[in-house]
Amino acid sequence: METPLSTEQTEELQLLRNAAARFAAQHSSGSRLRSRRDRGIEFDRAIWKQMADAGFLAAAIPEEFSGLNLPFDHRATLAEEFGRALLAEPYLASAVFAATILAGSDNPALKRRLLPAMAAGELVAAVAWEERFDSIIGNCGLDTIAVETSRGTTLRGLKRFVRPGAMVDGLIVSAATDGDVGLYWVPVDSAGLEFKTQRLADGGTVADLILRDVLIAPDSTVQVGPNCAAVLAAAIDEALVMASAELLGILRKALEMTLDYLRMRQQFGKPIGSFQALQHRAVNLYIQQELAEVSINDALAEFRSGATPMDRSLAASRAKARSSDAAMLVAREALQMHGAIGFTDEHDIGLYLKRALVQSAWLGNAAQQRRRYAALRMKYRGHRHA
Amino acid sequence: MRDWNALDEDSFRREVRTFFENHYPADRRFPPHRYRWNQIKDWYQTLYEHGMIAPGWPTRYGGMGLSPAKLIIFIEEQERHGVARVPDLGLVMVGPLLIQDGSDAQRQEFLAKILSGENIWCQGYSEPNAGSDLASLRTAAVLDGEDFIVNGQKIWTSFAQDATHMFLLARTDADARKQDGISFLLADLNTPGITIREINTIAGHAEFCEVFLDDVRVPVKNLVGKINQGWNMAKSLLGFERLFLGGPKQCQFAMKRLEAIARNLGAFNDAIFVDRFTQLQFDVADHAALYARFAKVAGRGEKLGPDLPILKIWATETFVRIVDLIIELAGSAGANAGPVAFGEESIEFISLFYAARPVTIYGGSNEIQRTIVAKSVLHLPG
Repeated sequence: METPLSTEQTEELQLLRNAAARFAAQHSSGSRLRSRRDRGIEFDRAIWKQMADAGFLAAAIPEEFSGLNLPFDHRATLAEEFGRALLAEPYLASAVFAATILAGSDNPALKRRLLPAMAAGELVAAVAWEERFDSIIGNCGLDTIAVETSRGTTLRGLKRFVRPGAMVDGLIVSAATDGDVGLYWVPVDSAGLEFKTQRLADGGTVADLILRDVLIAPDSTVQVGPNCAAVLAAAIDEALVMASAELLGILRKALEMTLDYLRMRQQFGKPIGSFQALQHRAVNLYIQQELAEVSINDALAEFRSGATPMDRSLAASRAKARSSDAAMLVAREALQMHGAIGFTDEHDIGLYLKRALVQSAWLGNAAQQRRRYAALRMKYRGHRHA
Repeated sequence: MRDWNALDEDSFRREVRTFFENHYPADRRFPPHRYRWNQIKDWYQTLYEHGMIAPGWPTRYGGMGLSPAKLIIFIEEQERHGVARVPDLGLVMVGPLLIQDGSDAQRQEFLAKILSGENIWCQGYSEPNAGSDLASLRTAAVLDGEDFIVNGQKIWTSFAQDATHMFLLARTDADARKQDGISFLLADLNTPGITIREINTIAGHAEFCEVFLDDVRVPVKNLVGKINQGWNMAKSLLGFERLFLGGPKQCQFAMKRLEAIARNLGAFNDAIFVDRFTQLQFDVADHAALYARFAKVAGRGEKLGPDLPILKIWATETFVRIVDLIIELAGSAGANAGPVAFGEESIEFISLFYAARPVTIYGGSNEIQRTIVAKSVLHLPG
């Protein structure tokens, strides 16, 4: 049963929303995004530090490691507001996804070394777990292997689609061990690491990571053994919900901009928003926005109420599928309704389309979430009938 | 009189659920279309005898006096069990209106007979030239001594052939702005000058009628509220019930049918089908979540926002998509006019197909709903 938020919690959430919105508006804009893209800058360490000072980077980190351990609803609110302003810093990839894996690790020494530094904005981490176009479906084995040698554990293989790419301080790398899975901490300057960095559509970066017998430092195992898959899956599920929240922020703003344009732009002597063909399509976009919101709220309620891992995965995939589809629909329609100006680099609406594309592809797009959901349900039914 | 609100919500839900399980005829759960009065009057009587026919009315008028939250539970349980809708326009429209705006004499005359089922009401709103643009209605009521003389024609009047009374909107001022010249009248269908003609639907059922009014005398005492105030009263009646035009059960039930049919046919081995099925699962789950959001507001007794129509739009269009997929799965059997043998049972695909047609039209077509949302929520011009 869902536990509703108290009035006090709701007010607290509103304060956080305002703070995040103020911060994001101050540190992100269309012109800043374009200039950063044109100069080839991945993200801004100075802004990252200010995000840490504001407490945003500590949201998913437990209190015993200098974190704030904010409730899921708060983390989602941050993601939504950062999405709305197209903040380019890797909040989701590092402060949510990587931090959540580490928080779930059973290596306290490593956590003490990494998590407080992450909360302070001094250490940026990435997760290198994908190897194929559809790793989220979860039915592919790992080609990257962890080998026990006389020097210690070494990693060999190719990881793909690592966000935010090479400009991090270290990576959590997944690899097949002897009949199991392991997650390892790899500092970015480790010998045998090579990044092949590419631009994302929105100007951000993503990298393929080649590991040539990279030696794991002592005490740098994040997690091995039977719990490893569960730690990774739990972090993926949380990241999916947070990515959904970011997509909601993106699509809300894109829809607002489009409605403003429909009210303002005159053709045939009247605002184009008075034409019923466009009005009805605008309502379709609004409906998708509301559906995305309630599906994310359902997922957050599952997380709050301590649902089973299976139910969390189902709710997370449902929210990510809806939000990805909704954001892509809104962004595409936003471009269409803006007409030619929307196709120019100069207008901000194109930036929203690009970010929607980038975040809907992250950790599995809508169609892949449906496949994941269907596969999980099949397994679920199997269990129930067993 | 029982104080239902003394129960906590869970106990109340259990009690209502048990009542439906024990008393509602098992062979009439989830009917494919609405029942006529003679098919459902036993159930009406059962509800009446248990004091449960008017869950939303105050106890002093013979209702259950439920709080908004409990009323939602009552209706949810009714839907969950697949209880057929009884002819309820007296219960959800006339009763609440008379309680709010009627005279003592009107309450005296009509309320008890609505509860007992002695009077069955139908709704005289739409006209041949006033559908989506209802305010342009032309049925006229002219004052003549103690009576209005009413002339005109109503259409799409659901189950008028089973009704004893009709509430209607009629024009009482031809010169005023169209919304400001309309009055709300109550008519006994036995009054001379009223002719009712059934209209068959494409599904072959006579669910609605035409009602012709030729010099029909409606006594002035049957005017509800003030003259020319009918439009606003009719609008205020479209409150709570609109929530249930967008309730989640119709889609959830259709999904169960789809799943059972697909399983039987082995369709879950087809990746394309699985993707479409999963998409519909999300559409239904997200709809239920959206419904819950609105129901929470209504349950607190607050006014529902202007974006409520999106619930009806999404509910009905999702239902249509589910039924489309069922008909597609049915393949060669999808065009049979009657039940088709299927596994150990038989399925009437065509009745599902027909059931999916009027949902996007009634209660305000989805196009009108979109126009309303565009203006009142998105603040688009024109």
